Amino acid sequence: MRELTAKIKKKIQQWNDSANEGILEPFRIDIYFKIGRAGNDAIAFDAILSHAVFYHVLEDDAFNLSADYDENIKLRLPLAKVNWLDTWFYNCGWIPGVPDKVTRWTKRFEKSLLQSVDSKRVSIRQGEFKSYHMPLLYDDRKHYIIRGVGVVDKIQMLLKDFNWIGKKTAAGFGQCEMEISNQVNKLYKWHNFGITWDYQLQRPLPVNNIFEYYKDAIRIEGERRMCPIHPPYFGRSVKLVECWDVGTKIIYR
Amino acid sequence: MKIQARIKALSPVFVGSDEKASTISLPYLIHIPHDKKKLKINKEKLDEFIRCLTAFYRECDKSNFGKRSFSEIFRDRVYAALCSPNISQFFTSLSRKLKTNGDQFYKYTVKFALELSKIENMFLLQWARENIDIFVHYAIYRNEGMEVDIDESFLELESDYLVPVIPGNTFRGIMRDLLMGYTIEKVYGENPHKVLTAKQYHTLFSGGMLTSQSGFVNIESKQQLRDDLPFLSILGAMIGNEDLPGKIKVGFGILDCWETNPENERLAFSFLKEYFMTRHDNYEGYVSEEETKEMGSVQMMYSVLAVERGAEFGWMLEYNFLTETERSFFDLMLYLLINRGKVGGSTRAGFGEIEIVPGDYAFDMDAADSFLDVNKDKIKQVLNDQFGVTKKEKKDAGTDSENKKEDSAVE
Repeated sequence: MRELTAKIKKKIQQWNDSANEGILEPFRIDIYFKIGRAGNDAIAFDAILSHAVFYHVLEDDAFNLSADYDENIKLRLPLAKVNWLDTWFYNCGWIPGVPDKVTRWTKRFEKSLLQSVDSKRVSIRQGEFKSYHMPLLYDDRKHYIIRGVGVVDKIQMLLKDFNWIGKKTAAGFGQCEMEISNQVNKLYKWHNFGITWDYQLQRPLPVNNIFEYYKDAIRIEGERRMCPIHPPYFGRSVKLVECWDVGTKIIYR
Repeated sequence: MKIQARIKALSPVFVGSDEKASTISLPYLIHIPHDKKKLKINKEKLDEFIRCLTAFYRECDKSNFGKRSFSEIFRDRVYAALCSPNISQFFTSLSRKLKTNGDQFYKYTVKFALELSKIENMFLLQWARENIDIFVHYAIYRNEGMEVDIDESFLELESDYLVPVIPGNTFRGIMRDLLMGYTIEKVYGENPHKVLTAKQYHTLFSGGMLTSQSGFVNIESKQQLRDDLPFLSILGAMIGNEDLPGKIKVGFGILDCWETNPENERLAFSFLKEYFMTRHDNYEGYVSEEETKEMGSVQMMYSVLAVERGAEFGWMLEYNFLTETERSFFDLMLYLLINRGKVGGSTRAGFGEIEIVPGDYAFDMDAADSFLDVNKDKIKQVLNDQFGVTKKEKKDAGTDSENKKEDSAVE
């Protein structure tokens, strides 16, 4: 693990001190994709927001960091926190992982260079000149709705110029537009606004005794999987928790 | 900063997908995000559609095909013909591909095609594309008198919009080649092939690859490299065991058609035209005349499905946190692409000529040129430090044999 510079530490400190200033309120984000997002896993909205905060706070320094610095960077998000027994997570939904279309991405060693390589033979099967022609899963659903609780102005400011979600964005996948609104039904119990909607889980929820406790009242129908539930979602210190997956149905008996 | 550009095809544009149906190269197609609709195909109409295909199978000239089984060839031809905007066009295209010789059934198929609505046309073709093997094999078996009752579950489908596009990777690859080629020629005064070693070339022109060697010592060293090589900084590369992320996003060239822009009435597949081409491989100069006679020359005819001349694409680029010099290199790169005016495959045969109109974007390339003029020696030094000594310098120093060893180690 490598040390951050004083300049970056100062920027992080300044952000963290002011991150949660403002009123927490329920919000809704409509994401409209122009080109499908690549990758085969669900994407957490707090991960998207972390990315936006990362570039907003660190600016061009963000391009010079690598995995070794991860554990030193703890950025607060302008979202409500939910304490869930022995763990916690942010109150916001996820984009479910339902890609069913496939394309391919290609990377190859420039053939023209063969004229200038003296040996006249270059292995493209292995080693540093390995060529790729790999399948890439992507999604072709246009519209996703994300619900959550947070400081709407700040989220709006962070996502103002945010147009790319998912993998292979540099090559054009995941081009999208977002609309943020706080015009949601305030009568709804907002403390679980980003967690359940329409009797379905909007995000993975740790499996624990709470469902056992209410087992006479509710029944859970869905799949379980191991996944991290709060940022950072990548890195060596990430803890995996057994969760009910996004889209799990909650049926009242 | 976002740049919204328009691309106009001045000649047919072919961006291949490596997918082939027999000798027909298919274009790069992508499923465009849209609000999905659930649909159910009319069973009688589907039955009729398959019956029409059976008629084509019965009437086509089966003797003209090569060593592959006819049903395999038939499937490929049908698959290629399915890239049509409507069923009438599909039948016409299929008839040409299979050289059918029956006029009687043709009246029947035309009648069937013309009675379908636009939506029915779209979704019958979509069903056939998604269930190509069922579609073709049932048509073949029906010719032998077999009748099957298609299950209801096969008739349900979700709407799907397939559109030919120019992928962002295609633009990115060309832009990278052009910028690096320009820079290296300016710095060394020679063609990059003659100057760079395989590793340097791979890093600059293809982005390199992660290796076990150590990358950067700290943040400052990474920033220093960005300052020294701004042309590499905007596109990114792998250095040792770390990556140097690029700062630009290159969007897809999205075809302006009904699927992407409801104001345009033309369907995406109506922009696709089949272009017939030939190739002649002989061994002239490589083997003796007698051997040539024995081996025979290889002649080949093939066709490509390309987006026709006059089609328009929307294209978006975005960059963030570029320094003044980096921005200037970005402008230079975009200018070089616009000047090249070619994209995709078979450009030597006249395909892929495009006109890019970047709206009211203001170019400023002077800083890039002056940076290269002033920092020639520094760039050479950094390239040597990071990626090993260049061929040219080894040659000048008389240690070219070591370089040869390095290249053979590549093997």
